[in-house]
Amino acid sequence: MLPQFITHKEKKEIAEKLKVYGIEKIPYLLLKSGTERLRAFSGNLTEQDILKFIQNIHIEGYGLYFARIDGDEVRLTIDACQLLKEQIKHKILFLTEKQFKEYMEGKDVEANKEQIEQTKERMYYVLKYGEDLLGMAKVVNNQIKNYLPKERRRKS
Amino acid sequence: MEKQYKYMPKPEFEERMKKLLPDKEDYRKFSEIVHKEPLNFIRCNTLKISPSELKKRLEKKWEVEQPFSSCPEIMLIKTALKPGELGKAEEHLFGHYYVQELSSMLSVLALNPNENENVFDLCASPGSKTTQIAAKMKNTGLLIANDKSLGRIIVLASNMERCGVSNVIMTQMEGISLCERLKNKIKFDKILVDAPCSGEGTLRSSPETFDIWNINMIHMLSGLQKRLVEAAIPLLKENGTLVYSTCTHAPEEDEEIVKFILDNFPELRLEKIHLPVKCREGVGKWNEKKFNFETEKVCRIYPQDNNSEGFFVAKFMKQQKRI
Repeated sequence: MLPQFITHKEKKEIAEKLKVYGIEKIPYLLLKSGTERLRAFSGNLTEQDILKFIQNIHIEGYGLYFARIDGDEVRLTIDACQLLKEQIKHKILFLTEKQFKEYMEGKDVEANKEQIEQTKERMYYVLKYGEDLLGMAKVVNNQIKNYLPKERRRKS
Repeated sequence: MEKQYKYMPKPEFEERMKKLLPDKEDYRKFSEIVHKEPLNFIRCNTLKISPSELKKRLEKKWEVEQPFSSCPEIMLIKTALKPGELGKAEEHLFGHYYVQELSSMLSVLALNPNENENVFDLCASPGSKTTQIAAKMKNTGLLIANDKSLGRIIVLASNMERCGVSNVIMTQMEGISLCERLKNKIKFDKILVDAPCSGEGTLRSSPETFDIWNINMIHMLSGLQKRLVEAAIPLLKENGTLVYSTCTHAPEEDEEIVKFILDNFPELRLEKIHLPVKCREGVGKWNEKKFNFETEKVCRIYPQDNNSEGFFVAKFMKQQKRI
C-alpha cells in the first residue's frame, strides 16, 4: 500500500474544521486511504523515512483509521474521538441510556426534542454517553444516523 | 479409572510430558488442569483508559481482581461468565480491554518496550502482544507488526483499531523475507519473536490441539523457528533486546532454539527474566541433546503452577562489539 500523504494545506484545512469541536492539535501524520478515508500515524518516521522504509515491503496499513472526509466535512471515527477526548469540548450530543443501547446495536436512533433543537446546524456532532465518546453522527429527519462500525456493535 | 474427556492426549504426547514432569504428582496436576477451562484474564488498554477507571466500571457487573501490584493492567474476572460475555461487553467494544490469557502477556513484560523505541513484532497476529507493546510505548516510537497470512492480518488490523494503536506500520510478508528486506534499512531496540508453535501450552483454551498434535509438526516448526530468529537477529541494535517465546512445552521449540541462538550468535547474551508468576528453569537435556547454557535464565510456565496456560520465554541482549 503506497502512502498518500496529505499536503500541509490539506492538514491545515482539516485542523480548521475540527476546531469547532475544541480540537486544537492533531498530533499525527495524516495519510489518505482511498479517496475519503484518513489514517493517523504517530510513529517516529517522517514522510521521507516512510517512503524509504516501504521499498520492497508489502505494507498493510499505517496507524489507525482516523476520519472520513464527507464533502466539506470531517467525521472522526470512534477511536479518533476516544484518543482526542481531552480536547473535545464542543458540539457534543449526549445520548440517553435507551438511545445508547440502540446505538450500540447499530440502529439509527430517534432524537428527542432537545437534541433536535441542539442539532439545527447541519453538521456532525460528537456522541457521548456517560464518559464514553461514540464517534460522530448527524441528525437527519429527527434520526441520529448510526456510523458505528459493524464489528463494534453489540450483538444481541 | 482414568477420566474421559472429549479430547484426549496422544500416547506420545503423554510420554513426552511425563519426561518433562518426572514427579508423578506434578504430572497428575498437569494432566488434570489441561482439561479445565482457563481463567478469565483481561488486560486494561492503557491507551484508552486507566486500570483504576476500568476496574471501577467493570466492578459494577463483575468481581474483578488485580493479582499483580506491579502490573495493575492485568485483571482477573472472577465472576462466572456466559460464553462470549467478555467479548460482548461495551468496554471491550470500546477497546478499553483486551481478552488475553495471563501467560500470553509474559513475553511483552519480558521485552519491556518503552516510549520512543523502535520495536518489531515479527509474528504479530492476532495482536494481543502487539497492542500490549503499543500501550507500553504510549503510541510513540515505531512499532512494526508483521504477519504472513492475509486472513490473520485482517484480525490484527481490527484489534489494532479497536485498541487505538497509532504508532504501527503493519506488514504482511513471510517473516524471513521481511527481515531480509529490512536489513540496512532499520535497526530495532526491541524484537519479539513469538513464534508459530505446536501450541502444547494452549490445551485449556484450544483442546482440539490434543488431536492436531504430532511429533512431525514439532520438528518442522523447530526448523522454521530457527530460520525466523536467524533472520531477525541482524535487525537488533547493539544493547537491544530480543525475546523469543512460544506457547509450547516441546524442548525442540524452546531450549533447542535458545541453544541455536547462543551457538550461532555469540554477540547475544541470555538474560535473566523477572516475571510476576512462578517460572521453572529450562531443561538441560532432551533425548540425546544437551542444552549447555544457563537454563535457569529461561522461563517455563506450566499451567499447574499459576492456573494459567503453558508458555516459554527467553530473553537475549545484543552486546556491544568490542573495539
